[in-house]
Amino acid sequence: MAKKKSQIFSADMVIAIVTFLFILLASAWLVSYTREKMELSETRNDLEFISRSVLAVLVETPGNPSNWTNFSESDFNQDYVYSIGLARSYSQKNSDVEGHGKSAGLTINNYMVLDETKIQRLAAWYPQKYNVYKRILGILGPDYEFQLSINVWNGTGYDNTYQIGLIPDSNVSSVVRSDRFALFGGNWTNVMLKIWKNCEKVIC
Amino acid sequence: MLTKKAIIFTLDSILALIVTVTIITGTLSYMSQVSKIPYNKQALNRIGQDSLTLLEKDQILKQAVETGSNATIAVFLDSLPNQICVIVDLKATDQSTLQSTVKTGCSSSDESLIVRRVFIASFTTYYAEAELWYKRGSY
Repeated sequence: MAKKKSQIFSADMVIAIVTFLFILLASAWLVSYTREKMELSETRNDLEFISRSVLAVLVETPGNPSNWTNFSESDFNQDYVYSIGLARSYSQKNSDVEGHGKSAGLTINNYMVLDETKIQRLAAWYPQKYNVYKRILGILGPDYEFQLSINVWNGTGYDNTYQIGLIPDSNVSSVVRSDRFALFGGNWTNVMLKIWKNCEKVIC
Repeated sequence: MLTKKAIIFTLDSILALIVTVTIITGTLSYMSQVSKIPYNKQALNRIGQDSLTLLEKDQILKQAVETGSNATIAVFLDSLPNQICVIVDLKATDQSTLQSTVKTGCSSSDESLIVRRVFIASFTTYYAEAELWYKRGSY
């Protein structure tokens, strides 16, 4: 009986197995990396959208009700205050009207003219009402925090006149910053909002 | 004893390895690229709108037309963030330019956007046109 020789494995097969395993592991790692990148991108998009929306409401509207500063600290919550705005209330005397005379139609409202009382009230209640601010402003994402700065032009630079909210931790990977410009006490004012996600781990 | 010669590995496997490593390296380099921030233009548009609104509400545009001086506009433009460049033109309704103010340290750019705002001075309608762009290397 003739002996038959056969080949159980070759170097080619070993190389093929190694290559296959390498591709498999690399694919698994790529999937994980892509998912993490997409999650960070989605969070960033969410923060950007929220920051622009919140600043628009703060700077452009007087809030709802517009006289929300009349509420006491204990009544300042979502049941009575539906929206926080820093613009002067419509019922206030509008000195712009007197200044413009017949062209008042362009400035009849107090769009982008900030009310000092509202800003002071917001700053005064900050530590204890911070979470209420977040709920009313709509900063509701998981571990989302914010910092609102009112910086007033002094002729040569912007002075940080009011600061409401937390300070971003140095470990935070991204802080979204949005700026608007308005008038405050007749001065040019930069209203800056920073929003970030405080905890980026799987379990916080 | 016969010396047996065998093939340790083939050219096929080498080519397969090269192709695999090339594809994976290319994929990794593509995925690790930093994506361009998509919100820059929106932020620039918003700053432009706010700037013209603020200049109009503070009567700076009106005074610039009536006095012929754009000094205050220049001061305001210089107060904007360093990475932003602006040119503000005050124009009549026939599109003739009455004044042009450029922020200090800015030169022209191909990637700019334009915002406009209407205002009234001396019972006449004008409009302010702001062209904004980011300084090179600032994003």
